[in-house]
Amino acid sequence: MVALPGRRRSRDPLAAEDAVAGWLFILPAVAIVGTFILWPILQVFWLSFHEWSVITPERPWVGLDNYRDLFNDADFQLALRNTIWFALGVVPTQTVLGLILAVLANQKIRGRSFFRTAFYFPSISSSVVISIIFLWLYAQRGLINFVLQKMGFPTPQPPWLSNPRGVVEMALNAVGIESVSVWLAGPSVALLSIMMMNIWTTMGTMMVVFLAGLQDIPGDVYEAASIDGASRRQQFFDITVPMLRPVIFFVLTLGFIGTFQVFDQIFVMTSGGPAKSTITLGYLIYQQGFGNFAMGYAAAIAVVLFAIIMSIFLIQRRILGRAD
Amino acid sequence: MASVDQRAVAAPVIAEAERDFAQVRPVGSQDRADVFLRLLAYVVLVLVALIMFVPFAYAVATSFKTRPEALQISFETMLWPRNPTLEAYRIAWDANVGRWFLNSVVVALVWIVGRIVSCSMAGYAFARMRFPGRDLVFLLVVSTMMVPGIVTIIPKFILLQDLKLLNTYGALTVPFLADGFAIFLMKQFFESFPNEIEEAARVDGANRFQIFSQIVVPNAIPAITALTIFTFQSSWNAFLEPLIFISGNRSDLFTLPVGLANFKGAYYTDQPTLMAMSVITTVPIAIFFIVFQRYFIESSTSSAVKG
Amino acid sequence: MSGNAGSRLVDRRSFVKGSAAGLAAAAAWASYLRETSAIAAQASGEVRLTGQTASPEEEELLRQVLDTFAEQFPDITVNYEPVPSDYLIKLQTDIAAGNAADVFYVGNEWAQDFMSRGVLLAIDDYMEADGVTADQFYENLINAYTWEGQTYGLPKDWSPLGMVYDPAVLESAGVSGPPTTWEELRTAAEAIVESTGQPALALEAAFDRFILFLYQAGGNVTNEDVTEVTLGDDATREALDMYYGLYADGLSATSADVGGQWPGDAFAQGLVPIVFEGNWMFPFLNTNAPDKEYGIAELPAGPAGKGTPAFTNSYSIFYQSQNPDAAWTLVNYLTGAEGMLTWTSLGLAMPARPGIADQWLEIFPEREPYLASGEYATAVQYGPGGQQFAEDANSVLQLLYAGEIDTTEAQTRLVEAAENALDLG
Repeated sequence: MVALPGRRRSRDPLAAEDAVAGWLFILPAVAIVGTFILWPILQVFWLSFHEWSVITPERPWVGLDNYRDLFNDADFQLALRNTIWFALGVVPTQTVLGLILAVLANQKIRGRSFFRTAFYFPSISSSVVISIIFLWLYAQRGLINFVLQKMGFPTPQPPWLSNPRGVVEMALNAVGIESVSVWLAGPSVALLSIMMMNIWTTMGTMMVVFLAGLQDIPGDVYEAASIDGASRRQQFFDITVPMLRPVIFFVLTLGFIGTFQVFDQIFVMTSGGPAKSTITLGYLIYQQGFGNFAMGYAAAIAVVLFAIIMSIFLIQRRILGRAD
Repeated sequence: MASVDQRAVAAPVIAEAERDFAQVRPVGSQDRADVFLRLLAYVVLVLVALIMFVPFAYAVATSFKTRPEALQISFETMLWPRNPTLEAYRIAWDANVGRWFLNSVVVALVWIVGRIVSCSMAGYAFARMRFPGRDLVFLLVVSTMMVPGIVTIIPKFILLQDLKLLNTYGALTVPFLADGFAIFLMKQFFESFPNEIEEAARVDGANRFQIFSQIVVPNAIPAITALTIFTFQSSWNAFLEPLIFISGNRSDLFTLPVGLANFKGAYYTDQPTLMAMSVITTVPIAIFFIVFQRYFIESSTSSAVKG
Repeated sequence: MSGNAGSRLVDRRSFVKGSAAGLAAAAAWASYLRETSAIAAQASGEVRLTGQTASPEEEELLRQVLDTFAEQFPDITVNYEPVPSDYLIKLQTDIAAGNAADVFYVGNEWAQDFMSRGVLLAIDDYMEADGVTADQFYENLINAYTWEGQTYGLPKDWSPLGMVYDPAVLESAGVSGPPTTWEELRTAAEAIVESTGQPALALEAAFDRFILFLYQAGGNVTNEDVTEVTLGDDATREALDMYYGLYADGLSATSADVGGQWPGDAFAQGLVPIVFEGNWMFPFLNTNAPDKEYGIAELPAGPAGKGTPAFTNSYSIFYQSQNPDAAWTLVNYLTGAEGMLTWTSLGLAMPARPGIADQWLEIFPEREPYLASGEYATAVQYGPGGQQFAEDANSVLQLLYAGEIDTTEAQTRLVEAAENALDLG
């Protein structure tokens, strides 16, 4: 607003009106968000310092006991491993695939919007629906095995979602290396199946986001570069990637946050099995809170999960910086 | 990245330069690479589109099969059954899928109305008004976008239990009537909204609420449409909270995803019916998507690009 | 059960089976008040009943039973709210929400967890007042619901595991009759694999199936007074060798391996000719493979003789029930001779009262081998902490079947799991 001389005084009542009106305007939304999201965040911290078994009325303060138990708990370590495997496997893959697809779609091809629609579609359907469909596809006599067998490939025994063996460990065994540490065994075949399903689901959204970012890069920049003699590859790495930095940041952040909280698919498809190899941190919270009635303990897991997600967010911000 | 205006100005200059260079530019490797890349693009994109498409098509086909036919996979019956039947849909109906559908619709409507009202008001206030604590409150609100549902599910459960909202429609709706992302979206929109009309109205003596309801809102249709679409999607597909807040014996309160998961828990051998329920769950959101895809895609990409 | 059974807190089949529909309390939607009539029960009011049902038929029959109940006890209104899946978690969540029904099923595998936490109402006084005594029920079944000298539920039905086989396949493989010992089982299985090229038996990687071999080898999870874990003994080793040997030699497979959702499904689809399942299998077979012929026999005996696990559900009363008198009336009716006979007539499970066993057998004469095993069947219980143990044990067996660990390691881990999870001494 331009400051006009002599008008200053008459603007004060408007500013005062805003001071009150502002709060009135935001009140409904802030009341809901405050009560049902912000307050529970504080509560999670508070709960984690108590032993809260819902059946018994006593809720003693136990300080850091829950956290101490957590770090000694084999199941927690397992869940942590599984979740890390999940995130490390899914996020870079779907990002790279999304970028490649976007670059391809950005060529002068017809039907670009058809492809955009087709690829984006899986991500708008319910995770439960996708889980149910893939549960069916991954069955021993399901479509995936059918196609693999027709093409002459072997299929995993036990079949996909029932197979608790770590894929990295199996690969190492195949070349003669025995008995690796659990941290290097890799995701189980079952977890890998769910990871592949996730990549299938979100690869398209990544592509669409990257495509929009690519289309914002003016074509003349590439023209100039190619005239200067830059190869396609050089153009890609020296122009495309740097200009897409904020988009990459966005995609990676969204990806990590999403994969760290994965729950629906585990619940519907495997309930944490086989041999606990698909228990993720999110699922563990559910199991402990609603299966074992150990809500204080579950809250501690939730706090740890939250801390991990925040750290990822902050680290990425630091490394990749913000746009413009 | 060059802004739109600059590019518009530069365009004719560049066009002329291109024409000049067209005569000079060496033919050869660059063009071949172009063609090759284009071909590769087509092949890959079609292949991937197929991979996206087949699971859904197969699910639809299965929903029209009988159970024995569903268990026998062959290329001929992959995309359409030999003897299509509606049996699976009948079983789904008997299992209460109609009620679940209704619940999903009602819940979605409440979410949408609630968010439109609360979040556009809040977005507008954050964008336009000055009031004490504005920036801090906005930061807090927006930061809630970062918090996954599973982290707060336990205190939410306890809270709803204390409020006696568990096992009611309230549990499915009240906590979701506003949302950090929605507020963020609306604020973004209002910020890019030209100020002059509002200024004029202010000078004429209108108060904030009048300005908001009579001037701003009628012009905010695109943003409200985008908000509606996002909210519908979130609501329709919501799973974790409806699962936890509604007891397993209250089939009358299930939304579609919860009903589907429960049915699978009990009748996991009945693939056609599971697929039929999946189809019923996906069709509405699919229709929404196809009709409004512009909004889905553009809204999500714009927030990505603007960071 | 399919591959993901390992982490379920309770095998949902434990509910369906034996206990059949259980508390069909749904009936009585007659929610208008009637005048107090001169019927024996002085109790009145509303009672909420829940339980897990596996099929619409089951639910229907339960409601019929509840209708009969309503006629006899018009003062009591029963609200039946069945849970189609994940019963145990839902029940626990309800208890957490203070919202649990008045009467609900309690499975024998996790009964001790509930009893030790004090979530169930002791019913000894009610039993005495109405002339219900423990000896009216099979001893091993009612013992599953006693804790520290008090009774916390009455078993509504039960089923052991038995051998269900396809006589045609056995015959064409040259097997003369259902195997009766471990050795015969292996021989028969080998002949079947030779003849059909498919595994002979569908057996899950789950502790509540492994346990049948454990019993047949003379072992158990703990000693009698639950003070010591006995899984480190030779009997367990023998049982593991047999259980894993069948799988490693291709004689058995899990239902997921052959493409079924659970062994009953694998059998119904004709994927395997032998399964070890309970009475709950037959209604499923009737719906999914009504023309399939089958034979029933007792499980083959092991080195220590015959053995089989018994699965049962009780009707129990929530310790915070607002209307315990009416709840007891319902429980008493449903576990009384008349109520029990009515809904076990669906064939999902057998009556828990020896007194009506003969009548039941008249309806299902071919199930005689199941009843016969009542003499030696052991109700599966692990002690408090049992749920946790069962989960961990399932994981161990899944790793064993996947070839990740060998039987020696599996045994060590089973002992560890028991020592960590169970509340010993």
